Amino acid sequence: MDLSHKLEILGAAARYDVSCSSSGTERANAGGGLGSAVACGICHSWAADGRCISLLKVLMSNACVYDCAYCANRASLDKERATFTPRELADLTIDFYRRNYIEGLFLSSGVVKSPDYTSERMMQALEILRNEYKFGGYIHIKIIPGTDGRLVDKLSLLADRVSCNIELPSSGSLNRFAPQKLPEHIFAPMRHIKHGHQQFLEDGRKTRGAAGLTKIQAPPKFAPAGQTTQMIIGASPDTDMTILTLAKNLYKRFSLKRVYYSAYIPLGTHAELPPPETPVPLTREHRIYQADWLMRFYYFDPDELLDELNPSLQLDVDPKCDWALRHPEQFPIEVNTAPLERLLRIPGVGLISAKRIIEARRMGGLRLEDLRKLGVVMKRAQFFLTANGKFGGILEPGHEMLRGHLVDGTGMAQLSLFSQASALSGNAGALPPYPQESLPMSAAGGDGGALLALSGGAPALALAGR
Amino acid sequence: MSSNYTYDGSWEGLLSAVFRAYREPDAAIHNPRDGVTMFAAVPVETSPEQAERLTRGMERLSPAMPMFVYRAFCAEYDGFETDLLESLRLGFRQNADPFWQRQLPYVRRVAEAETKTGREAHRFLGLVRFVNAGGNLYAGDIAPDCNILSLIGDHFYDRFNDQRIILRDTKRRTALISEPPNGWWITDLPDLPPLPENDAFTEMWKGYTVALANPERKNLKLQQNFVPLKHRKNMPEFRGP
Repeated sequence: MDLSHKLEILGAAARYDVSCSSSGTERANAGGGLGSAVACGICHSWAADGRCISLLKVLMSNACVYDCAYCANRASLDKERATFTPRELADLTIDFYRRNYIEGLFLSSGVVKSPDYTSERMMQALEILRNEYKFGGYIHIKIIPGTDGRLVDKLSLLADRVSCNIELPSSGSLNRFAPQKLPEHIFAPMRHIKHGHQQFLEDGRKTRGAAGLTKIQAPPKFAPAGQTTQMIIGASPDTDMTILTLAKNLYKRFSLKRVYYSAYIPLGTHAELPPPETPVPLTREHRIYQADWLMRFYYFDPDELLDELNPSLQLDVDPKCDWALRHPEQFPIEVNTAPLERLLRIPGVGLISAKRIIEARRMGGLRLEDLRKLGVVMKRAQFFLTANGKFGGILEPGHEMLRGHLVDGTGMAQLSLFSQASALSGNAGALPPYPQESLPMSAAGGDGGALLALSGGAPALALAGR
Repeated sequence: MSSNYTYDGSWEGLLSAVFRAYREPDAAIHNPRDGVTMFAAVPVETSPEQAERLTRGMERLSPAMPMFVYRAFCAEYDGFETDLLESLRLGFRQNADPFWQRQLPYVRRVAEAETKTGREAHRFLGLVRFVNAGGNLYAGDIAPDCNILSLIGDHFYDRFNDQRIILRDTKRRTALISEPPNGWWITDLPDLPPLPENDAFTEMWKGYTVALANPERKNLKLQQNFVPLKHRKNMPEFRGP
């Protein structure tokens, strides 16, 4: 089999692995050699599915002795199999790297013979890259569940990022769809990597304190970009609540850098898996990513987003908006005085715009019309904030129509046309005209002002909107 | 009477012109790209010493400010010079980094130009494609919106410390030359002979990028958000078979 055919088979076989990030390490070139790593990561291309190609993402082999029901490379499937030699793979990585096609290598594999045998072959490829070619680029290595701890150590010392995939978010699903893998096969390497990485960080702190140490005396880098994992969404009946709670625990217990979520593409034939024509749950995957971001950067707890009664994220509105709609008592938030963590609760305000608000308001009060210029998405934010006491939303935070408006906006677009028309026809008395200008909140909520008057007519208007 | 200044188009020239115009409330600075302006513009002589003084002044407001302004300068937008002049007046008057105050239109235009250049420079660290042009010489073409070559030289020099590089900006007819261990520099190119389109690995790379896409998740619009059509002519994976 020629190399380019092999590459196509093993590239196609790797496309169900989601992670392609090349971030988290900074490594200068060794001097006169090839390669460096940049902390922020660099994407090199984008495939026709819109996902970035940063690393040469391939399997060492797509032959596998396991027969996990959901997997595209399971043993019982009749398909073309291929295996790289360590030398082929290392050379290919270098040649692609020199042309600036890639940022480095992402290496995973089917289980050939045994986890340890497979890991040793993968390690040989990494050793050629790091020791022979002095390759300083990014390497992400998959740990095959069940790999021996000493091999995990060696791989972690060669790679930048290490990951061990959970795939199924509960032990019940694991037992049903991947009976050859035990939870302990996955959690043992994770624990191992966590300890090794923490040791490395600690040694780093100690040596930084000691003066006059050369580079050579610095502690060896153990998975310097940390570890990640991946879960499949929608293969098993596990709820979003289960998935996010597991993610939270993984972040906490194993200090993971990322949990990746992969919408299940129906490839399996197992009776309990979704049948082949099931649509890929892309929106659900997207909502779970949004919730994951809320946990990691916006001080949200999964319990705030979901509970036993509502174990699934809303598909039609993002989880932060959904939370805000369920907690009108928390709003509106005054942008000129609120602390960072409160600003971050406003739908339409992100990390960057929150920071900009805090910096810009030092030089004087911000007005509603300034916020858009700072990057706030006023389409959503207008309903949840005030600036100098001014509220600019056409519906107050607790209004029963607000959810419908945030979902598609159509109800309100129709509505404002309608109210304009009625104002033009001079028929404003029959139907209260929509307040177009900003209202102070006290007037809106206090004495039955325009907003309250409006809610009386809301059902009819909602019908008109649909 | 308001004064109109112009400069030689260089970064130091810009700073010298700002230095000169700073205390004249109605002064405007014109970019030499604009060609003949309606008003007679006085050419300001480039002074490395004045440029240095202004750089120090900006650093006092914020250590990152000179680079910030340099990136905005690289975006090459019309009216930048006057926006910068106003922003700096504000900053020195308040004794604070003015570029957080995006609610002011002239500040916002400078800040958005900086973001645009910064994004593009970062994006091109990935989008650049080299073709082997014999031995350890690798060549590539780009046509970025902003003038980014000077911002990405360090990266390519450090990364490919054992290969020579010619990276040409075909829009501006300039090239980044990297020759380790002698350093990298930027040079003007009078003409642009075509580069070889393929080498031994081009086809393999194209086949790989096709194989990696999940057909069940096909989303060409999303792909186009990341790789606009205008950049694709220099990327082999987007060239026809």
